[in-house]
Amino acid sequence: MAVATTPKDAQADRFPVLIQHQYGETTVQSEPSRIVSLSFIGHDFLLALGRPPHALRKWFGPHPYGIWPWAQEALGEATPIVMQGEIDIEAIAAMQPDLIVGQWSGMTKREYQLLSRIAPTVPPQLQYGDYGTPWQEMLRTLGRATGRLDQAEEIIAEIDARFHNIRQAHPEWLGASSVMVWAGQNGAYSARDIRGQFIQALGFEVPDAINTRASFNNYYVLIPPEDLSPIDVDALIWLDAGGSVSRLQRMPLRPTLRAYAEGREIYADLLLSAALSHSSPLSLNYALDRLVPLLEAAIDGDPATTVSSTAEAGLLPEGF
Amino acid sequence: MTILEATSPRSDHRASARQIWLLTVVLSLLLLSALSLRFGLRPISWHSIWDSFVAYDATNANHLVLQGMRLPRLLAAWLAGAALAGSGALIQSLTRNPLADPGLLGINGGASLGVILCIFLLGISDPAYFVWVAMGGGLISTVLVFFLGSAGQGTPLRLILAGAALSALFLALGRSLLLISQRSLDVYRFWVLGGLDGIEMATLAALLPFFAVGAALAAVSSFNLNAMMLGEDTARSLGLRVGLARGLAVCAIVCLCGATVSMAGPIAFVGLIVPHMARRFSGADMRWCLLFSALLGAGLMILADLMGRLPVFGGNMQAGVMAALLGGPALVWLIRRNGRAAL
Repeated sequence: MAVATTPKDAQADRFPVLIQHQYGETTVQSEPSRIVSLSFIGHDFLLALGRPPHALRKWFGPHPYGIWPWAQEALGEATPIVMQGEIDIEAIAAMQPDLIVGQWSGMTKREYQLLSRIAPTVPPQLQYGDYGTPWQEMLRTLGRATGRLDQAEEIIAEIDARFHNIRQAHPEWLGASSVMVWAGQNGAYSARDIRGQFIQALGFEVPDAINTRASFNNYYVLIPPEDLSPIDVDALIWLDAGGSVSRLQRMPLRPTLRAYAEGREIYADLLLSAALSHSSPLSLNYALDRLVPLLEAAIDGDPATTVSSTAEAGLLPEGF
Repeated sequence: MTILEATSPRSDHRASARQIWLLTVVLSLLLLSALSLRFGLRPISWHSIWDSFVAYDATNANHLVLQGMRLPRLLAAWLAGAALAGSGALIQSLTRNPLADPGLLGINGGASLGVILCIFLLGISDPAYFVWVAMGGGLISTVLVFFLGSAGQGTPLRLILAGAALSALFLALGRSLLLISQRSLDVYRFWVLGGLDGIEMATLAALLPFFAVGAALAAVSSFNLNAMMLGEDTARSLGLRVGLARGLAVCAIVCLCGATVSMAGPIAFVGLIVPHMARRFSGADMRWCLLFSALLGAGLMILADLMGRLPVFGGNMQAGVMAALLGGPALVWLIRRNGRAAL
């Protein structure tokens, strides 16, 4: 581990730390060295803090260790144990961790109680629910738990500043409507979801029609194919986890959407969709690099400007 | 066959009652079909429905919904319901087991495993591709079941046992793969509930030959099964080749169920229950039983699909789930009314 090389020994004074969460509170006594990450996206956050996890939970994708390109460099030579599927408490006990983190893991209270007997365990905070913690809060909590709070705050300030600058440069985005929709099932992400939070951080607004239909632990709303009006927005972002282009091409009501007719649909391929779905300090920069130019092309008010990713996917209406 | 056509005053009476029932069922089916086009999340007037057929307008959202979604799913409901219930009647007669269900031949298990492997290994999540892997999986498993079931002395019982065993094996294999991959589970769980969402005309057209061949074989089999009703020896003495007849019936079931499962996922209950309802109208004659089963099966699927689209059920409850919700109580009612004799 790279612990010794980090000149932040002063932070060691911060332990023990107390973390409040949905199942009570957890005390981390000292700086952890073997961290088990049960969150589907949490390893990205730990890597951003320079703390490769001892074990991680792979979400999806074809990459080794479930680490996507934007986090490859931060992973370096580390070779974490890869877990998949349900939380396997026996396997975790055998790893002898000294910290278990599981925001965005969906761990149940019973799982939390068992895990807590193995090592200090950090589930999500009450107000955010299983998969609704904003990336800033997630990083801050992990920063505190690993004694890297200063570094976490620096990263948050940097990325927040980038969002701020983009908003400043695009006053026309302020208050415009936008929504990210998983193309595989027409699942629209509400403002409670990390993808909804992303689009709002750029100044857009997720329509009320979606937010009011999403409940506390239900972050996306299935849009019925007979009525697409809830996603008839100024900038419509299709997330594709793979293989949904033909489904979009054949969707009967898609041609009735304003975004379709006016060239304001944005197609996010697997890599961009995954970056948005991770919304981690490492993937956010990648997502902004790619999505901002696409949004600019989509919402410039001129239907003749084509959105490059949508054109490449073959999703533009005829005549474009 | 001639035995069954012997006329007596009683069978005359029976025949006219049957024709009245047939007319009633057909008319109800047409009414249900019209309602299925009319109702759904989006209110569409009768006038608009008429226009969408005679003056189709590709920019009219109502026309797009009708021709692109409601009509294909109505036709799919017709095909799926008729195919499942018809093959249910065939297999119950073939195996002389009133509780037999087309799923027992391993078609559903094989198709499910095919779909899981497709999602899991190839990462394909577009249901349009499921048609072909499900068909492949269903065919392979039925061939296996038939091979195992006819090893040594082939009897209907061996066939059922082989089917049940292989189905259980395929389901277990599939589930263990799903436990490993959360994402596969998400895609699969929509398929496995069985529904008519998102079915397109192109898919229907591609599967139509299977339904047509299946229907033709089923019609032939209904004559054969009538002859076999008095026992296989009697059938042989009437000049029927029993082994061939049985093989034809199995082929009919495979075509019909394979095409249905690849189109709409594994839909349970329809194949089990509808033949029992049909027998109330048709009597023991397999030809009439098959006809009534097909019509009533289509009706049940349309009704299930229509009810699943009502706001009461959230607007998008899968037809497979609704069919079980409707069919379960219907079976209980049938049993209570007629006792075991009805089965």
